[in-house]
Amino acid sequence: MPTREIYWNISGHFLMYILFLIALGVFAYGIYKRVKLWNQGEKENRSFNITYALRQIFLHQGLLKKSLPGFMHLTIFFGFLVLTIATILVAIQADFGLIILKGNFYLIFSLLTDLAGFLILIGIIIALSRRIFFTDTGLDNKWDDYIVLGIIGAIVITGFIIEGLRLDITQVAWAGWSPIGVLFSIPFRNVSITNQQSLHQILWWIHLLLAMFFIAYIPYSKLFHIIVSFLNQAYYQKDAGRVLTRLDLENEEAETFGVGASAQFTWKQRMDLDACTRCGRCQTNCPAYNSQKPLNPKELTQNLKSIMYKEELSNLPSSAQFAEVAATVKAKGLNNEISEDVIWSCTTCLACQEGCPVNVEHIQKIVDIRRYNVLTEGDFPGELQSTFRNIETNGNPWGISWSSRENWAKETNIPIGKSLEENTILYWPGCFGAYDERIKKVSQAFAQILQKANISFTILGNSEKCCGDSVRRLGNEYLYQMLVMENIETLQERGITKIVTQCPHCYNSLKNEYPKFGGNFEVSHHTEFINLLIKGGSFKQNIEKLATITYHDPCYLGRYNELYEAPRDILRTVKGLKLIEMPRNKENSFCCGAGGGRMWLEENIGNRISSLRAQEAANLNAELLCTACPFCLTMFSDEGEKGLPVKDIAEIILGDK
Amino acid sequence: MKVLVLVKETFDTEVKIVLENEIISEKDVKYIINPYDEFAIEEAIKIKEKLGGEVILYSVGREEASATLKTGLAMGADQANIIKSNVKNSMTVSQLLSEAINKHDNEFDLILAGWVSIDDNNAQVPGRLSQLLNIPFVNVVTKVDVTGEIVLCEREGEGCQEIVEVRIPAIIAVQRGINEPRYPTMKNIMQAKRKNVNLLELTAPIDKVKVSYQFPEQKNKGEIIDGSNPEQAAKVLVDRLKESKIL
Repeated sequence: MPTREIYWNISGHFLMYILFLIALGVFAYGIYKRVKLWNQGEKENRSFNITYALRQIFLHQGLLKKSLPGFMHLTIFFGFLVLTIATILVAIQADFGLIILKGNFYLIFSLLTDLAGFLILIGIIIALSRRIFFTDTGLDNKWDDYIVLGIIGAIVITGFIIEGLRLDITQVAWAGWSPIGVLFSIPFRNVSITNQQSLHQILWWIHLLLAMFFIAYIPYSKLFHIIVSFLNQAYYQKDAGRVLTRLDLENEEAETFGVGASAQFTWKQRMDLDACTRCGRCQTNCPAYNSQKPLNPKELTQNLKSIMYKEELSNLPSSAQFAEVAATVKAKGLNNEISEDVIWSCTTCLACQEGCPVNVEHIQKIVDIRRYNVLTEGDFPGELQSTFRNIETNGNPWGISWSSRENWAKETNIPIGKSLEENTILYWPGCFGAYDERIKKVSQAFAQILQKANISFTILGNSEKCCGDSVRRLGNEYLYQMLVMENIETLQERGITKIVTQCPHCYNSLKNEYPKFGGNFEVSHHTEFINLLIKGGSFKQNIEKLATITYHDPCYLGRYNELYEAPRDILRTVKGLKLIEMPRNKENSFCCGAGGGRMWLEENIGNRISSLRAQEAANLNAELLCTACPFCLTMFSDEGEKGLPVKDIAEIILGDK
Repeated sequence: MKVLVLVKETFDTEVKIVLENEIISEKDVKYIINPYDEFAIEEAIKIKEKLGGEVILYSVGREEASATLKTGLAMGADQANIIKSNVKNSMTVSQLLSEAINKHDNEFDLILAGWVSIDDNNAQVPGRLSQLLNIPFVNVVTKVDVTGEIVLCEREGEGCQEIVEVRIPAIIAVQRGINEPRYPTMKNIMQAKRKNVNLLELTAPIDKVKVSYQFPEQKNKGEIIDGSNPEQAAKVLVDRLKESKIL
């Protein structure tokens, strides 16, 4: 019956157990050190979602968003999984005397392990080729990368040679079930049996040592992602970055606000830094990185990680020199290690988090550092001072009188502060919709749609204030919370329950962030709303527009709130309109450059982000660029002649004159 | 070093002026610290950071100005005094300030102020106050350097840069460009909550000046004459000039 003698040709295999214990010890110590390091951070409550983590791991959902590297990882992962199970089966048989590896099961076992090893070799070849021959992979190469690939490759190859030698010496009839092993035996067929046996023994021990080294090396290398990626995904929170954490500003004891030193990050944020394997997917679609700004999300994560480790060095009592390094890092804080331009370059577009296969949360960290700069140091780009003050005094970023906020509505007979009947909806135009000459036209178009559909609606008029999205993402949590409190009070006093916005930033803020401050409203974006009106038959448009159009997904609508289809559904209802997509669309949409408060900052470094996107649209055979966000609309309109004409979806659906 | 800063609460620049019986209506008005006074506060805090001491704000106006003055406290001033009064003319305001300062803080080293306020543009109070307190006055200063008893003040002269040396106590009125006022940090905002805004009630000197306000006369709007036909346009122009009796 087909089977195999375990420890064939090997003596002294008990040494293996000693080596295994040592490896496990080194492994455990490494894990302990890492966990301890994370826990030096601040507290944070996170739930452990094992289903999500397992789905990510076994279905490779995040990883396969990029096919070649995704496939590479898949081969190595599943290859290893099979080999690990096989090793466990061998151990059960060898150490517990349960004879499993016999008969047909053994044959299938042999074939599967061979194929698994082969799969891993393919993966290793892809990985090495990407690192050595491919450019533009987003990878940067370190010794660790080659060591890890080398160990894995060496383990598999030595394994195959050992198998091949055994098959050649023993000449069993079922050798064909280990095809790759047989293949590897070919070069050794002319070697004498004694030499084959010695070679087999030497390689067996090398194979074993490599495997033990692999285990011990895990917590000290990028291999650690095997563990930390799993943890990081299990502790992942869907709203991370989308809904920023609420800062306790009432705390009289607090000396600092925001994050100015690595230890002020939470344990999860610190674990995040370890989860990064430098794959570079975060930077692929990053508007800052792609427009030659100093921010590169991968580099930022790696720098924050190295700062965390430098801080840790001070905890080693024996090493005075390291302690000195660490002490300066601690005293200087993050700001001296990470340039301000890095921190202020982020548009919070969420492309990094969308790309990251292990759910590293970049946005919150960047905002945390901004919070420290603004709230603790009072240190931020000069142009923001007037933005903040304007919002403080007049509730809008331009500082236009708060008492002229409702003027746009007066011009078009829109009910202001109308008494609320049942089903009255509050239309929230936002600062752009109320003050900006161009966006006022969008507000008026949307109001006309509501009127045509006989929707009872009102606006807050002059008592509306900036929703606070920009100031929050610029780190001014104090001003943000004041705005939130005032707006929630106004809305609740008026008894508002349903809100519709035209600005995705107001939308995300009101819908997802206000509930954390006790403001619970049913919020929809005008694209959702118009789509429902059309589907429900209450808004009928008979326009015919013979044009080819492309739609730009605003970050705060798309990636933030996954509203990809509503705007496209609306556009598809227009007769004669042909909708074509830009190369980067939906979750891969490329930011206009105005999010995260960047609208209020000068763009002095590198290319203009909006120009890159406008060019992408202009390269298509389209006549019109459609969007659904006043920030995007403003940015693209500024491109002037170079770009396509830009319109909001409400204007298009109303049929522009 | 004890530095006093004269602060005026002014209308936000965006406020639309509404007159009721020749008095400016204060309904729906947002107030701010006069921006030039903000430069003075910033400069005072810088002096305090360099040399130690304290910064005290003085303001003549509404009781409710305390909310506005909190911004100054959050920037780093130590306390604020409001002399409650509704007088608007510079002479009486200066008299009130002089009286209050003599009574409460007569051992001051320096008084700083914005050189002008953006509401009435009078630019009189610092000068008048220097007379009443009998101390030297340097106006429209863009750089202040305090060393011991001597203060070096830079000011833009006619086509030149003047450096004025003045001995303390003195009053210095500052001009835009002297500094970039800071944005209050959380820590300072929290501390400001615990700082005092004192309300000083003084018997007002008899206000001999009556101030009333009127809008300037509306100027006639210009007219653009269609120039596509020059002959026609010239005729229209001559007609218009005759109508307005220029020809």
